[in-house]
Amino acid sequence: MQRQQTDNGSPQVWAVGGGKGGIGKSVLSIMIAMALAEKGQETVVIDGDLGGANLHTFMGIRTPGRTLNDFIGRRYDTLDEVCIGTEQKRLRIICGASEVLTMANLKYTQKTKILQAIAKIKADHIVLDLGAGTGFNTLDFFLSAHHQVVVMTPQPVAIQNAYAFVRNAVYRKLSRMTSRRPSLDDLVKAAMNPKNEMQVRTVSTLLERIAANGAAPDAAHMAAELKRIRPVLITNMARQPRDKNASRIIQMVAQKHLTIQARNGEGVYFDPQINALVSAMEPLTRIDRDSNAIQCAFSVVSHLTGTESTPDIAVAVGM
Amino acid sequence: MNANESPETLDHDSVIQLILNDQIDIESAAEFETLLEVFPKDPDLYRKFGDLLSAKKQPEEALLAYNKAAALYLEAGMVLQSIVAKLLEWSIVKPSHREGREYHAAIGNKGGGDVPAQLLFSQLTYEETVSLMLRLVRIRLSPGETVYDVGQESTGIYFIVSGGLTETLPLKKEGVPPAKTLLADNDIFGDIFPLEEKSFCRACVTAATDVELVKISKPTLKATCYRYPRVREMIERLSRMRVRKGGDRQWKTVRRSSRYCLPADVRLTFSTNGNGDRQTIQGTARDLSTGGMCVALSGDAAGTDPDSLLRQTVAMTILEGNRTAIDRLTGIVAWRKKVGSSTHPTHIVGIVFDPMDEETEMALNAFCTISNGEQDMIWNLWNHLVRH
Repeated sequence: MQRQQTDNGSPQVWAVGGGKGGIGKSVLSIMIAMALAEKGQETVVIDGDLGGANLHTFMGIRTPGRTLNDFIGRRYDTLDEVCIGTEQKRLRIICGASEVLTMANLKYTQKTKILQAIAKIKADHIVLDLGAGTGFNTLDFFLSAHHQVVVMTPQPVAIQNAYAFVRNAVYRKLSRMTSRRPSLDDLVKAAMNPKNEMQVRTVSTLLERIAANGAAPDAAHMAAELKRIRPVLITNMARQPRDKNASRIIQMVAQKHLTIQARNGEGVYFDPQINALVSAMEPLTRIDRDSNAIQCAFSVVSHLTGTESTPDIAVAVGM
Repeated sequence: MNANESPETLDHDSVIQLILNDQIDIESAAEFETLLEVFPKDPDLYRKFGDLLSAKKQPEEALLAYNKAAALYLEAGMVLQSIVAKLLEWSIVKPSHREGREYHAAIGNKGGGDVPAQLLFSQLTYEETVSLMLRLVRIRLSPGETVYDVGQESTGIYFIVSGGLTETLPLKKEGVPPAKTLLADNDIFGDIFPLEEKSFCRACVTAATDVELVKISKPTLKATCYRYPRVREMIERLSRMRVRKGGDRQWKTVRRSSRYCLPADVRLTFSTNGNGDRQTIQGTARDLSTGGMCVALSGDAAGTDPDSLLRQTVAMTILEGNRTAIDRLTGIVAWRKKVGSSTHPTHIVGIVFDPMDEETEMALNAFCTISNGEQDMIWNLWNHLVRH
């Protein structure tokens, strides 16, 4: 696999989100990062869950010596300086830390600083493990990524959370695009409310309404921008073949109500090997390479990096 | 909530839905009014309030509640439900022609959406609307009750105001399970055509939940259609609609889980005396909206006297897992209720939010994100694709 930075030499960013906690975002982030590293790509996985940072524990690190907070607190000038090496060749980690800082209260300038610094990391790929929730900062990190991955488990609440995450990301994008156009911004904000009095229930209706308000070019521009939101949906911890359909649900509802073409990453089966490694505080990098989980990550990576030509990610493996 | 019902129900259900299902008893009109402070835009609650006031022989107050319910239903695009509330209002005081025409114009302005009953009533002329409205008969059914069975003579056409029913076609072949269709809000059913002859029911229709229907008897409809031929044509076309659209129909009409919202942990902080001492208790939000919410207090809040919370100003923090999702939210406790058994009670409080800044309002909007249509589609697909 050739080295895959963006055109301007900055790394490609992968954001792994999903709204709900405990659905395996961190594990999947590490698996994707491992897959990239094993394909010869210099990779850094970042714990974006600043309020509940625990990515390092999955890598067998008990107390990280340096964390993202050290960068935000200006103890280090670059994110490369807070990277910690792992047992996996070409894979480094930036740990999150402490209760001091959360994504929910991250200031705009801090967020911008992190995003700019991520683009300067000396690596081919960055995998950003986002925290739970749908706060604006989490959504902004998600939207800024080149590859957006949404994780869910086959439980109804996790599916709803994942959908809410995607929905909020879409409306966040629209809201940012109209922030300097008060009349359009009001429409977008009102439409965010699912019971809005305008009877706008889908994004396509919203765009029609915007166009009807004399802003047809804006509506067309927004529609074009929405086409760039193409998250890959992954059902994690499936125990039966039917469970893998959970991501299909989000795909279909998002297509109808949000007018976005999400991609179905199918499913990842529950793999007790992960639990065993986590319980033993052993790094996940020690997982068997024939494990379903790592095989799934390879498939996701192969597809999204264009080294596989299937129209949709056909992942028949799992964690 | 009934005494024998497990308090765990609150882990899953909306408090409003439990009230509508009579699983939480609202004892007095005054208590209902405080609840409406928390949910001032819920048409179902106003409709329920009207029914309560009617039962208590307070027609003037009931009229106001039905009037509000009709307006809120219409605002939400629920034309059939609005018409039924309006009929209840007008059964107390008859409307003037001007009121009737204004209401008809409001229905027309709202438009029909894509469900049969809404389409019908939004397309009728004033005369046609009046002719049908005045002949609607309300019917309530409990789960398991049969509307009609296969082979019975058809007596009328039915519109589903709320609830779900199953329509079961007779066995075609031995060993092949009978075809069942779920009927839901705003569907039209009843084998009344041809109107000029006797017709017989081709399926068995049974209530699957508590159901409210409105019926127009066959002789009445026949007379109306004779006078207004367009009504016949529209009903014939719309009553076929659900059959033709099959599974798609459910996504548009079924509101099986419309009140389900994601459970959110909430921290409530309030003053315990005038000296600035503050206490914090935890609970789970139910029916979270931008105007207010209900909170089922957790077990460790049992030491708190819920009565002492009434009319208290509380500061709220909505949590997602162990993180703060929404802060800077304040409000007043307007309603409280003890539910469950005496040995395992659960205390619920209803809180009206104070005006909030734009950022908090947006965050709250984002938190209550998923619309009924999206919810329904997720649930239907989950039932079809994932549920074991």
